[in-house]
Amino acid sequence: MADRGYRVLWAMTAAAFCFFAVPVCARAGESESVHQIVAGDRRDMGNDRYRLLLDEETLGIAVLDRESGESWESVVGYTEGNDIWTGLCNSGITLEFYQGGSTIPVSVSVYHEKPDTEIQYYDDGFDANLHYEAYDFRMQLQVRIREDGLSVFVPGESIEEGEEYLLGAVWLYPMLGASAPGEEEGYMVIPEGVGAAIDLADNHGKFKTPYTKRIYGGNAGIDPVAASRYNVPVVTQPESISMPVWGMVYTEKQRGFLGIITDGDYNAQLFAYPNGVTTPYNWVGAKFLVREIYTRQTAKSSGVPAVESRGDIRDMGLRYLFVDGEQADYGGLAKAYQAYLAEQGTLSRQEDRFRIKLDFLGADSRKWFVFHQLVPMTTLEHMDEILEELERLGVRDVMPVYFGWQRDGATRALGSGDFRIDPVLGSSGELERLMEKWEERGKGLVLQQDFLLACPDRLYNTSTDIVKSVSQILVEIPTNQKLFKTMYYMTPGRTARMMERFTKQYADTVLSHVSIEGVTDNLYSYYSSGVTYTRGECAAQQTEALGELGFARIGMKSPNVYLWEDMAEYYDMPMTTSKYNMISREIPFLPMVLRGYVPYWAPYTNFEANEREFFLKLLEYGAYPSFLLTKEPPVELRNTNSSYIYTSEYSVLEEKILQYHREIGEILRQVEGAAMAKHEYLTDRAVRVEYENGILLVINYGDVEYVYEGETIPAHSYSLIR
Amino acid sequence: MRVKGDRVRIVCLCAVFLCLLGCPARAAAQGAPYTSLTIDKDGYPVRTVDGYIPGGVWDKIGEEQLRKPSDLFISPENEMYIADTGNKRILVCSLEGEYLREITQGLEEPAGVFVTEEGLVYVADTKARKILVFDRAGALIKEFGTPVSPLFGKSAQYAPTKLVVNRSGTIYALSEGNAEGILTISDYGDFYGYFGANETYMSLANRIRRALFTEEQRKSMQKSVPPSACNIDMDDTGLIYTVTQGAEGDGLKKFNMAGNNMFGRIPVDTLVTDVAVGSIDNIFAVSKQGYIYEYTRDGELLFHFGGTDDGNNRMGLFITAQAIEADALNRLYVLDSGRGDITVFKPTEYADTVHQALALYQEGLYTESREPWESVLKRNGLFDYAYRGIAQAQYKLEDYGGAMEAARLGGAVDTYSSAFWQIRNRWLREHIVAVFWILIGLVCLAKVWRTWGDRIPGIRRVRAGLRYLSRTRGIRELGFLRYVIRNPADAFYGIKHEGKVSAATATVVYLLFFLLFVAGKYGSGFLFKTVPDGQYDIGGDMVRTLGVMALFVICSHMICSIRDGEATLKQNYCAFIYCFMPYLFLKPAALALSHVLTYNESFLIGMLNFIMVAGTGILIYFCVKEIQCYTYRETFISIFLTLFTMLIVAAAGFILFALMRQVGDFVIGIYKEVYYRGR
Repeated sequence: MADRGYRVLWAMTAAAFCFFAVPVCARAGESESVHQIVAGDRRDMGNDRYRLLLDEETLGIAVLDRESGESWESVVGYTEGNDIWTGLCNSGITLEFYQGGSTIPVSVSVYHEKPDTEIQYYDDGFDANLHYEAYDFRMQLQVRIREDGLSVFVPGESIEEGEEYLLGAVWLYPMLGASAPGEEEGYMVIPEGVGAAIDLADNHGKFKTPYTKRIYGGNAGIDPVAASRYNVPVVTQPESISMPVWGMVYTEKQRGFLGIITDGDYNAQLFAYPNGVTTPYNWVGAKFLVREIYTRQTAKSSGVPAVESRGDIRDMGLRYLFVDGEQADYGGLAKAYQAYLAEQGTLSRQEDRFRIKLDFLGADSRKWFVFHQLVPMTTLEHMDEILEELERLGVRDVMPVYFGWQRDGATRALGSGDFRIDPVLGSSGELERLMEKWEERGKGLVLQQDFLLACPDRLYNTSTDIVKSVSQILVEIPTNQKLFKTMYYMTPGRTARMMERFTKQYADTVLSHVSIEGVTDNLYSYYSSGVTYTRGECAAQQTEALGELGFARIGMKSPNVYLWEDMAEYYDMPMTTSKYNMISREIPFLPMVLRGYVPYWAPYTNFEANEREFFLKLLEYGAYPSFLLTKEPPVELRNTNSSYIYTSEYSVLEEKILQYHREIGEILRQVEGAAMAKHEYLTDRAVRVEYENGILLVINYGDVEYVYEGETIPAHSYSLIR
Repeated sequence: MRVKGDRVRIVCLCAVFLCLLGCPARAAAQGAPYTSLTIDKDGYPVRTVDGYIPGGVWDKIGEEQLRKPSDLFISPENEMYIADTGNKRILVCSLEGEYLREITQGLEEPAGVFVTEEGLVYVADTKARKILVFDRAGALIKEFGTPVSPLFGKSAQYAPTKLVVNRSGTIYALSEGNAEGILTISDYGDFYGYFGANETYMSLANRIRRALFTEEQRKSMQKSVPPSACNIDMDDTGLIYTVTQGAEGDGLKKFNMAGNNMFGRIPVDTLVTDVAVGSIDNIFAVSKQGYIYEYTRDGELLFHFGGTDDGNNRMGLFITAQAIEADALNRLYVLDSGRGDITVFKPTEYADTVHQALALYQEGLYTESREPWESVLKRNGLFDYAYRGIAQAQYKLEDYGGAMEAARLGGAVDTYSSAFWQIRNRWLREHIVAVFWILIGLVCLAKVWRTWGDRIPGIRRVRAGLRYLSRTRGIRELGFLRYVIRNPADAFYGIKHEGKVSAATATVVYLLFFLLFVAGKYGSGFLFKTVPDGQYDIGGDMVRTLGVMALFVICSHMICSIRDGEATLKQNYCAFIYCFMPYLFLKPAALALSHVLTYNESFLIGMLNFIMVAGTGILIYFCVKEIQCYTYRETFISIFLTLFTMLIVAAAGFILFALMRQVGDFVIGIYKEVYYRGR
């Protein structure tokens, strides 16, 4: 039994005693003492594996592992901070309210604001009905122990709010697993980009800000939009969170847990606080957002901050999956999440075959006097020639994807709804013949379509087809390009209509494989025709529309997890993180979740400044390579919105494609469909990757050779051990 | 910086060594939190492959934390000296960030540090108002206080902030609040004088005020003081570089021995804070906002990257970037004084290739640089500087066609001109006889046309057709353009009194003028084209040509109406465009010539342009005089007043437009406010 576990629980109950003068609970291991403080008949909550302890005064819980005696606690007995932080640290639940028209939230914790609480105990948990009289607010909390962990749930229908205080956000057990520096060895896991770990070690207060990020990316309907800039370097968008999960691993004690938001994930925010940031604890958790602050525009370039009048009151739920032993590392957490998704039906096994993804850019447009001129980059004939040439050179494992093929090219076609090929690139008949030809040879052509962006060069019905922010202003997304500086977002309604039209257009062809982008990783609340839609409603509309897309295989670009059910292939998988200083190291959390179920491809190799390192990363993460190709040199794309493409000419990249096909293909063909069993850092610059089919790979990123079990791996190289 | 020996050799050796390792990859993590830009041939920023990627952050040196640090320096022994201003010390560490030692003796507010090849450490202490010199062990051996020389100036400030020292021991220091220039102090402490002062920037309004004000009024005006340089560096050859905040294009300067700036206008951030010189004389600059620049030694921008951190502590972004240094491997060390940390940037494989090519190119080894430039272009087809390198290489190899093609892509106009001259020369040598035969043939044909034309039925019919055409009103009125040059006064008289030109024909001529203008602007030969390829602004062109012409006609009519002029608006309209006869006749010739001339013969086009402008000006003068029946003096005054009226109308239009926008915004604002409050 962990000393810390006793200590924390003791502190928790002691704090409760000090503030509320009620009988205190004793050490967590002494179950009788615990039950002294929980009213009611049910003294033993839990199952054969775990035991659940509750402090009724704070609603703090402790989950004891009957086998190991170790526990996870949800409060830390912190008394040095201000009311907000002591409340958050010492309460199971903390709420945020907006009073009247104020945009400053009021933090309401169970620790400080004693609600009227009725607790109904069950064998495996309890229901707590909370009534905050001063805030005219009611809600129910349901906590249950499960075979693999814990679930926490707040039914949306149980939430009742008054008129004065509007619910802003809900914290559910954010401090579960929190630890002070030196108490535990281990790390926190965040699904940042490819995955990241933050060590629990004492960082002596060097970090001043926490990791905080919205799950499924920012909200274009609320967030202020940056200006489009093309003449200065632009800070790139940080990697977004596509999975609503986080983790905590205690390496020395070999135990950990994975937190999953099961309900209400569309409006949630992930927090990871390394020690020294506000409190001395390492903790990671999520906050459910109900209402947000936005700028209500009252003049052309200014406005007033306002609270959303319609809150996103919904079910909110968490699952904690506990792991121990050898499973207690980031790989184990990834596998636990993989199993969870498979059980939910979100992940299903898809055909996994090593193929190099070749994205051919058809055309884009540039300004020509007062008109626009199409710049053809790869015609159908060119693409056919390139594929023939690659086949002649022995490159058989390729997946051709065609984008920018629509009328008016890659940019001006956005939002057009015309899915015929531009006649400069070829005729519809030629496209069909090409699709048939390569389908027969097992390299079916994939057509790519963006169902989100709309080029401002066209006319739209802005009340129904184009996304307006909750402030009822047209959302204009910066492109940081010179020709079309901004783009619109299409409403899910128009997206659905376009998907229907696209399906109809190609229903009678052999096209069975499409690539979708835009809607796959963008979620927003929006205003349309007098109604404000939440992100949850937007996600439901997008999911429904995608479900109607009548193609056998749908590849998606960086999709959020709620779309994975319809996903056959994952494109543009993040290969890194956003480089926050607090991140101790990158971990292949996302690849380990996907591997064995869905094949995934890395971003374009073209644009990598450190090619060798990227090459090794592909091997480490088991990601298949992608190239952006054109027949014509990229210099032709100057003055188009595709001017970010500075290398794409097939003749230049041919050699590299051959090399990747040969070298990466040799390794990754052996792990097709195989899950990653273990990923381990041997040193800071050497990793070991083991697959469930026995394949073992050691990759050395270092500047000097590395010896693994007698085998020497040269610097910047890899070795297939078995 | 300050790496001895042949830099080209070092870079090549590094490249070879890396190749021998099997790959040139470095331990840098992938991905950068910023986009990287370079500049294209037309001066526009374009995306490029990342040249530098953040490889780590030193938030502590050993166990030591920095407090408001303000300067960095890498010594010849590859040790880093940090002016840890807030902790009143100079902290010395290795290039891996390991603490070595510190210097504290006599320091109050060390702001700048420099280490000589002999190991002497020079420190500029702003608060102590001294320059202190320490030996290798950190013992104070010398200090220089306020100079006593009359050259220094009685009211000049002495609070040294940054400094460099040349091989002979002469100190070049910047002083807070001293705008006279760089202080030059001998190794014995004698003040030599000021060097490389910035210029005073004065607005046009202030210039006018100064010209009109009395002596006393001028004295009461705010004193115009040039901005002080905020940082300084020196390369191996002793050339000095400074950066100045708020100096726009003059923010980065490279001084020759005479104190003259060798750079033109350099693209650099207005809040630039430091400059450093790399191993191949490449220049690095950093701005407070975290933008980092790399230039060639000639000031051509290679990379522009970095950015401001939004408080989330992303590696590679900054809150207050204060200083930059580069080591022999072109790794960059950027000091953030706000956070008190140092971010290390590592050059990517791509940047290594660029540096390898650049080193060869800068040494004049053009043909040797061709291969690495081609490698660069494989990675980045939009890197125009590489095309310039290839153009030089092709020219040297006498592949003039290839040189022209590459020079055009790289915007190397001089190389293009030289290569074109060679190609044209070769063509002329090969075809001169044929050209003469063709000319003789044409002369003969003309003779036949004139002499025997009527006897040949086909030619007779064509000539009859042409005669018929020339009698139509439109053609006849267009032909009147020729008469304008023969007898301007008579021509304008004819337009006014005899109705020689209709408004419809004049409109056609206006359109013709516009078409020629557009053709000249967008269709000139590469060497004489003034706008970048692919850039069109037809709306702006219409405003600048037809809009200005219309404004002139209207304003002229207004002025002349109140000054007893006799012409109607229609007469003004018709006559005015006929003043552009020189342009209409000579522009096609200039356009054609722009495709066959090189810079050697550019005077021809210059001469044509001069004739067009001068001829048009003269014709406008005579036009106004004749159609308004003015004297010479009245004409001059009317034209002057017309131009002045045009200015007033333009200004009034601008103000009206701005006001209307304000009113529009106000109305929309009220509507939104009412809507919001009423919900």
